[in-house]
Amino acid sequence: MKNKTRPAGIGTGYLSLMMIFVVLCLTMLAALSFSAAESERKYSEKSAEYTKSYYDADAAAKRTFAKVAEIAAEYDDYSDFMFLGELDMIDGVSYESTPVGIEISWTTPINDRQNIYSQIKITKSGIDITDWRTIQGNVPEEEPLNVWLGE
Amino acid sequence: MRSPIKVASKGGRLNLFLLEMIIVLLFFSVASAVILKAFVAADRMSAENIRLERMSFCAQSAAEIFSDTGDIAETAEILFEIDSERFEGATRIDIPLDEKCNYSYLKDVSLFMTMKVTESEYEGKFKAMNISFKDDEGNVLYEINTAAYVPERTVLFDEE
Repeated sequence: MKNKTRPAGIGTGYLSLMMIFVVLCLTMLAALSFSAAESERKYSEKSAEYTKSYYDADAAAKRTFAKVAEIAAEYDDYSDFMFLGELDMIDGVSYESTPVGIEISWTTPINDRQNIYSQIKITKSGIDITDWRTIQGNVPEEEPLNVWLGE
Repeated sequence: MRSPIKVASKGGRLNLFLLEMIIVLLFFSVASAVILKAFVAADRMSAENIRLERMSFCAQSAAEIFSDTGDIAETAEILFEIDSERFEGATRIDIPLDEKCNYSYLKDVSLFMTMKVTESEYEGKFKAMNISFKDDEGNVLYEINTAAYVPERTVLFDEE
């Protein structure tokens, strides 16, 4: 009887299976890294766009500040109706007279949801920036955030 | 009809294993070329994202310093430690940067940051500035606009 011996080594088909497995793994890794890079790109672009919008709004708020301060520099009496009339002509500015001077505030839009809220206090001794922050909506929240202050 | 392909251990006849190996290698080389392209694209995209973030942070830093000082020469000095006397009275400064947005000499420059005063009002107390980043070919990659108002008697609320 004739002895049949199988040739030593890898049989037919194993290479194809291994190749399919390796290619599938590599494809999955490539797809994952590409999608990670894509989502990172979206995030970076959003962040960069927000920075741009924020500084555009900040510049507009400072322009308003400059206008208000330059008008105020021409007056000594901050309850003068001429001064208040000039303030009324600046868009979005609201004011409140105080015993020592005047408090002026305005909001400047950053995007649909956020604004920069600016508030200054003008007295005989000078101009104080009392508030300059990003707020949600148009009205600043009076209540501070309930956070632990480390005490 | 018998197949012409036969398993044989001796030379002279077509080896099925070798044939499979050749086909697998061909397919693998084509597949790996496509996959490698995807990896390279992902890597390039990731590098661009990092560069955009660095430019954004650098622009923010410049904008914050400028809003405090109102002077571009001083901004360049604080941000990149460049002697501000070199730019005294300048309204535009071009700063060569490396890929990490650090001030660099021309050897490893990959970006140019330009700070330009675009507007000056109220006797120079209010200034608007444009900060832009360009590549070697002059394409604008990122830019922001900012402004500074530095009146003589302003007191910041956190300095009180």
